[in-house]
Amino acid sequence: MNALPPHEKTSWVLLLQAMADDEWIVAHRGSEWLGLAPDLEEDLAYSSVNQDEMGHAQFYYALLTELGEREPEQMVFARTASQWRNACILESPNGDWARVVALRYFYEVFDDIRTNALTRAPWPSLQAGVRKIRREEAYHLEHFATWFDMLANGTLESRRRLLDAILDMWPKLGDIFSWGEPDTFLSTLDLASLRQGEVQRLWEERIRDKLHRWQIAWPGSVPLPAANGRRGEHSDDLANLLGVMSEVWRSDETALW
Amino acid sequence: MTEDHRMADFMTKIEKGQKIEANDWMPDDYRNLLIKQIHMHAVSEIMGAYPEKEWVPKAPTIRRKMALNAKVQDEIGHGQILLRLAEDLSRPYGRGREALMDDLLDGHVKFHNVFHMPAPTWADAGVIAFLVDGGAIITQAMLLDSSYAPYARMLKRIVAEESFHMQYGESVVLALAEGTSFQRNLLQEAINRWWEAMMFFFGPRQMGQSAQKMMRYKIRTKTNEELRQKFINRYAPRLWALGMRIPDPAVKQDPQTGEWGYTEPNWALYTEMVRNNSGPFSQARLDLRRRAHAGNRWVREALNHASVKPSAAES
Repeated sequence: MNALPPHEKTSWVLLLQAMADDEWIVAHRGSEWLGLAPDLEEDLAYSSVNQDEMGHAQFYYALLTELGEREPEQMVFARTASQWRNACILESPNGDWARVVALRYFYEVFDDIRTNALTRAPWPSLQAGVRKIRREEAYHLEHFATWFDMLANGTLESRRRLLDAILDMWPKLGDIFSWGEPDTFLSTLDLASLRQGEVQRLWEERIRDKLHRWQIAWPGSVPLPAANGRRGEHSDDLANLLGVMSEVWRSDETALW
Repeated sequence: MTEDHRMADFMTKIEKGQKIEANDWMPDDYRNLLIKQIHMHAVSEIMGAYPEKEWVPKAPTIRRKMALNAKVQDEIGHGQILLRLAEDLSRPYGRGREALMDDLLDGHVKFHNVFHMPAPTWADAGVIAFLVDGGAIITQAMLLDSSYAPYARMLKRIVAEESFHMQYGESVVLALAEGTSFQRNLLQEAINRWWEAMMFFFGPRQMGQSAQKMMRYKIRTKTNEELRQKFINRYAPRLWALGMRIPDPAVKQDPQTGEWGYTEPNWALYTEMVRNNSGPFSQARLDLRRRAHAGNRWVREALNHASVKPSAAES
């Protein structure tokens, strides 16, 4: 990709880093659930989902390396919080299973919209990789859509927990749709369908249908967030996560592990 | 047929090396021994996931993180398929998954001594995969020929996966052994922590009554001491080849008999730890399982309750 004009390169980096960081952080938090899922069968399923997401992140990081960014290991272990571009909601601590279900369902719908647009990306290796990724993501989406239905329609307690989780995270979701930069960079990539307003509109349409189906009141359009992870603005949760994640790596940075 | 005849037929089958299936007649004694063995095996797989689970968030490379994630998933998977066997066997007693899992939290079923111990460094996670999974392969390999056919079949798959785990452990351990002095120290300290627990792992030389009965019923086919000898024979030379020390000067092979010497582990200490869940990390790990099982009971209740079919795939 060295032949790319510089402004196009910058645009791809912007796009792919948000995706890579989202997938890595969501998988890291997901892997914290190992051994703790509601039953053994879900432990197995959720673990597979998270391993898939790590694989996707790895793919995006490898493309970033092609664009001249650091090696994937450096991207994961050596960056400070302000250098990460994931959406803030993904870095927050796990909470209960209802929160996992709500967040992962919301995220998977969003990721579906985002990767769908990239199946037409004018970069053949990205396009091919994303098509493969989407074969796995279809199962992730189905998995959490099913869970969402089960909790919404399970017991009074499961429904209450699900509603609490949705209301709690709703005001914190906004930076998911952002790219941290004015949308104009997308037109240099021929990906105008990834404009913030457009992605958010599609997402809200689908989520509104889902909530309506279970008679959950629409909480209103997702507001702009206080902090924008796409601009490197993060909570202490990310710094804490990174501290844990790189603890061994940092204990001897000259070592091969 | 009278009970005595049935029993005589059953023992003839066992002695001829024939296999018993889940729906075949079996004496209560045999059933209960199987439940005890398989239940303990299942919960040990599940509890064995925790010391390593703690290291997944901290794994120092992308590859290690993915591999360890997959390994922990395998262990939970072993627990799941083994619990299904225990559930089948427990059907006459009307006990299912919830009850078998409650038994663990209530202290009615024991898990392996090694999983009561702390795993304070990344090297411990490697040594667990190398030595504990290596030890598990040795005990499980003898069960491959178990008289209870469903157990033998499940173990085929489990042993195949465990040998991947052992190779993963070997790779982690090798990286440390060939690494910086900081890494070699980490590794040596972890070996020091785990060696004695591994000597205990195979059980006392003089086997208890149930273990002897399991030999008679051919549920298992080797003595504790045979298994321990096999372990030392396989791992002592490997550790030495890595330039590591074994924290027991008595570990030497008798050139005449081929028998390995070793210092007796602290039998009383470990027995007490397993019996009363009083090891340094017994309660912390049980708390994790409690969080998963009891803390998420509301989720399983919701699943039982959900009255509609889940929606078909969304796209």
